[in-house]
Amino acid sequence: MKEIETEVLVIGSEGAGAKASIEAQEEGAEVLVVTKGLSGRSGSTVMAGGRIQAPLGEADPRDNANIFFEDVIKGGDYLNNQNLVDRMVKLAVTEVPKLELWGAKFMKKDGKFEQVQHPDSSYPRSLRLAGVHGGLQYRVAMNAQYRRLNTKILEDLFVTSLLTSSDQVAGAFGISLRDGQFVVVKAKNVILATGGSSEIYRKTDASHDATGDGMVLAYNAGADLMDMEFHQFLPFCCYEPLFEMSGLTTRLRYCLHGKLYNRIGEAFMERYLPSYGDWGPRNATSRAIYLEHMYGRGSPRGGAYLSFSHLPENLINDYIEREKPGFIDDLKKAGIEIQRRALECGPAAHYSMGGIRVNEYCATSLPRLYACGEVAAGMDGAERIDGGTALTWCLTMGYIAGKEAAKMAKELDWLSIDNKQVSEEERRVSSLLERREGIKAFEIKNKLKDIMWNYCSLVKDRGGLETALGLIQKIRSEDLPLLCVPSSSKTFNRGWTEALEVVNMIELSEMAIRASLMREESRGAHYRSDFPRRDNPKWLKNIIIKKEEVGMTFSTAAPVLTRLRPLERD
Amino acid sequence: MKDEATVRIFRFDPMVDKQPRYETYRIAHEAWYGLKVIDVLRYIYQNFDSGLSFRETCCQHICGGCIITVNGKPVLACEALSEKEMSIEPFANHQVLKDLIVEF
Repeated sequence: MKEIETEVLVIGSEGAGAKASIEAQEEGAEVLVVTKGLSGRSGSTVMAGGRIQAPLGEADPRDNANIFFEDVIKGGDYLNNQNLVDRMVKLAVTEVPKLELWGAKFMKKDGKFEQVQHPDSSYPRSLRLAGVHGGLQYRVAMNAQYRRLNTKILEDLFVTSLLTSSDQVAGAFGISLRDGQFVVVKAKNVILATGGSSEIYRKTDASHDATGDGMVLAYNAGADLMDMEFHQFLPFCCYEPLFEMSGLTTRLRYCLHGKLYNRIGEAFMERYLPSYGDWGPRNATSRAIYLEHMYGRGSPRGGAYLSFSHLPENLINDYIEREKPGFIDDLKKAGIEIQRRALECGPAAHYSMGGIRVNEYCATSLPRLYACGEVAAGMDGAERIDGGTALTWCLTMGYIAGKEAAKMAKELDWLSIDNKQVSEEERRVSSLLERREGIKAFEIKNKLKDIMWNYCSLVKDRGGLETALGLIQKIRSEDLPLLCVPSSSKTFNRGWTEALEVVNMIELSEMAIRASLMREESRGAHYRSDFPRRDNPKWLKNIIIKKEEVGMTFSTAAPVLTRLRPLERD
Repeated sequence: MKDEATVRIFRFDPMVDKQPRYETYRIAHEAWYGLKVIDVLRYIYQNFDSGLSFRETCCQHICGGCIITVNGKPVLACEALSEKEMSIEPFANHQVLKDLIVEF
């Protein structure tokens, strides 16, 4: 076993983790970053689109942090932590432009940042990162800082549990995937920046390693989770086999005003959203496509047809000539010409609003544990607003968590590592390797993804959720005891990694199902067909999940409302 | 019967093996035709050999983590189409950590 000591341990090396570690180092703390993948080549940040939101007011001087604040809270339907959002929207003004100084390229005009407007924003506010994949610019900036600060990064290290000492976090236990060696990191403060849990759904456009591990780490250590019933879906992810989940369909749709049809040739969005048609909000559009599929009117792969054939061919060709979207060439190579053939597309899980409950210092309910980025909850409420806020949250929350953890580390003593916890965790992760035959982790993952997609995604109701819960219990009682890892290798044993992940994914699925059952209303991303309306008197509340002696417990708490409250009529 | 693919894969576990070897798998038509190399690797891992190691992260040809060599050419496994005869090796000129996983 390898033992390491660091003042601040950051788990997760991408958007939020990179920013947190940079800020903590700038503040003078000794920092270690660990990631279960490769820095810059894993996680969700690298896949981010080209937008990042900051109220700079360069495109429209009327915009400011207060208006950004209001947009975020209204978008989140008042379940956000307003103290936290207040700090973040102000920090966005300084921290987002800083990315440019760190080497990211932005689209600019006359020395000013280009800012474009997204549906949930009052003014043009989204800055455009250069290139098709803005996440790559973020990677350039963060890598440059990692190099400048000579940051210590341990890659391929899968943290499997947090270690505590008298109800405070004292470090973490992990496995080096390269050689199977166990690693204990003793730390004064731990920052979780492990991203979201979209991988629990059948269809997702997020990175395959978005298995929500960090949420379960925090939960198992005793921290509060929150808002687990809210998951965001994007409507226009590609369902064509060779381009599965490509977000580039979305871009095409926005640039060329694609039209949606169901299998009987109906432009069905007119029926769902008469005033918006094909230009409705992401959430409602995702739900409509999902419902058409449920009613048997979906495309063969369970989505809808996105068509551009209403456009004259020379208009499409002019667009291709002007914008040179490589995606269209790729499609053409695969025999798909958008001038003649519709693209199958549909919703995919994209972002977790739920996660670890944090306050305005990004501190969790567990002393010495911080969380930032998608793994945390409180910034988005019931729905994250459109237009590149996820990267904004990475930067602003990373800033808060990094500074705070570093500052506190100076005042705190080291806690001792509890050897009993270490040996128990050693036993747990080793025992997974003992069964060679049985049910493989990917088989359980597949079951889980179908359960979540069918019963706990875009349209939920009591019956379906209860069915889902029953199926999860069945997985726990029948499949988990037979969970096997067929290979005995200690080096990059994928079956072992997947076994560790699926245990986490079962916990997260149960949380989402039970919180969805509890919330008898519809709000933001959470839609109950048996309770289709928002119910502020009863449900202007967050659902808090905590691990107690008796198991998973659910309670409610009033959201942190400061200066913006729902109107009476809501 | 429709064509099977013959897939030859470089295997090396530095903790066990003295030197690398190659394993050959026969892949049914529906498990390779019109699919990407990553789909075939996943199929082999799920059906024939749970010990096969390869990287798979974004699957949208963005992150670059799954870069490997197929028939002598560097490709992203999540981007390249499968072929009927494939020789799959790790990304060249990088230290092999296991099978198709290299040190970047």
